Amino acid sequence: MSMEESELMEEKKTIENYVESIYVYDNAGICLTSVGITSENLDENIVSGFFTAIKKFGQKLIPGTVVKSLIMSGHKLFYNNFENITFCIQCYDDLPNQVIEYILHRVSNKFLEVYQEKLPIRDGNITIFSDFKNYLLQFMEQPLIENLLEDFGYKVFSEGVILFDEKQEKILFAKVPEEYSSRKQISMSGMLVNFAIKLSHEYQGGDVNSILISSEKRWICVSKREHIYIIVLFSKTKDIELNIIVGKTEEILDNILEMLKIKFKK
Amino acid sequence: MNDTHLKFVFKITVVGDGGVGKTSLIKKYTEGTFEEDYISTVGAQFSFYDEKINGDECKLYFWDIAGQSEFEFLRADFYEESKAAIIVYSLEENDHGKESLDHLVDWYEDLKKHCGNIPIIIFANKVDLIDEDKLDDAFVQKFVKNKNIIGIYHTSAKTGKMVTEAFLRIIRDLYDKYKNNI
Repeated sequence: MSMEESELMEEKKTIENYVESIYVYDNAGICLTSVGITSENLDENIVSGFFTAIKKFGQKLIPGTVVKSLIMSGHKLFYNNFENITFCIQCYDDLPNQVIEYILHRVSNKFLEVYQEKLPIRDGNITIFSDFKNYLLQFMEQPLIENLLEDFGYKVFSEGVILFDEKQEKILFAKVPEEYSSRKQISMSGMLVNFAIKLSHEYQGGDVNSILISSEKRWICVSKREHIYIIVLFSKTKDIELNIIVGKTEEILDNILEMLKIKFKK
Repeated sequence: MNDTHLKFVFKITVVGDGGVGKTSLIKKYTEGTFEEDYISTVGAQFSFYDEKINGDECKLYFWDIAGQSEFEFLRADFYEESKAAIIVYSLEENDHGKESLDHLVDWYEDLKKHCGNIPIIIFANKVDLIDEDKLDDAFVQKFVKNKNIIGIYHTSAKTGKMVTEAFLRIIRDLYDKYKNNI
């Protein structure tokens, strides 16, 4: 690994490293709040107006549809619509779509949690949304991969998640009781995968994506991509769909690997 | 700024036949400029103007909607959630001017159908091209009165005549209406 790459992984990357702008606007094209706009003389309402016009044009062109994303060279825009409010994320095009969806849902859920009741009575008064800009500014400073993994662990009812970089011999993320994230335990996971690969090759199974261990007290899922491992622990008392768990674990590992490879422009 | 001051954004739809000067009027008001060459609006254009009233920030957010029939299929969608509307026609003494006046009622009906009871104001534009003393606009004055339109202004995007006054009237009306709702 080059020096540059290792330095990138040393530093925790926040959401603003991946996301250029976030806009929240209504069907009138009025921007209720936004963060991250940098171009001089570019009013947020001009941006939201054009997005709204594109959305309406799309609905006319193909009735019953809604514009979900716009792909531009080097950049992409993703939209999430809730009744007459649209949430939009503008980001670099190498950010995985599922990660963008995660960010969009975080923003829209928080906004609706706070303001849903006030939306019908706003009457042109956008002062009521001014606090949300502060939330967005703080949100942009949060570490993205760590937040993603924490959210993943919560959604799949895991007891713990560990992300490990074999090349750096470093834990990138761990949300487990301290006794479950020792170097010895991680190394054993690595050895297990390497052994499983050999075994798989013996049976002409090709590379190993994941290993699922069914033990007396836990399910232990170990997935590997290139030099990155993810280890997820589940209680045996939980009734879980194993194929879904493995699929979701591999999916998040793929997304994270893509994110770790992003060459940052900021 | 005092924390208690408010920030309003009002969407204003601007309609009227193609070539009556909708875009020029907005440009004159928001940028203070006028261009002799006519460039047809494609779909819609967006611009805004900020005004402070009693310390509160009011942003007029103009949706300047193309008047040509090719864009009719999009028009009603573009009206959505407008807080007021401006109908522009031309005072030119030629077929184009007369037609734009004839279509005034159509534009009004279209706005009423899709926007309901929002404040509507009429700009009779290109007043610089006529002798205002000889202007007979009894029909429009009667229409304004009967339909409860908030006003009619004889404007010129070229000279700037009555442009500021007309737009300020809208800002004031909207500000008073929505401020009182809080």
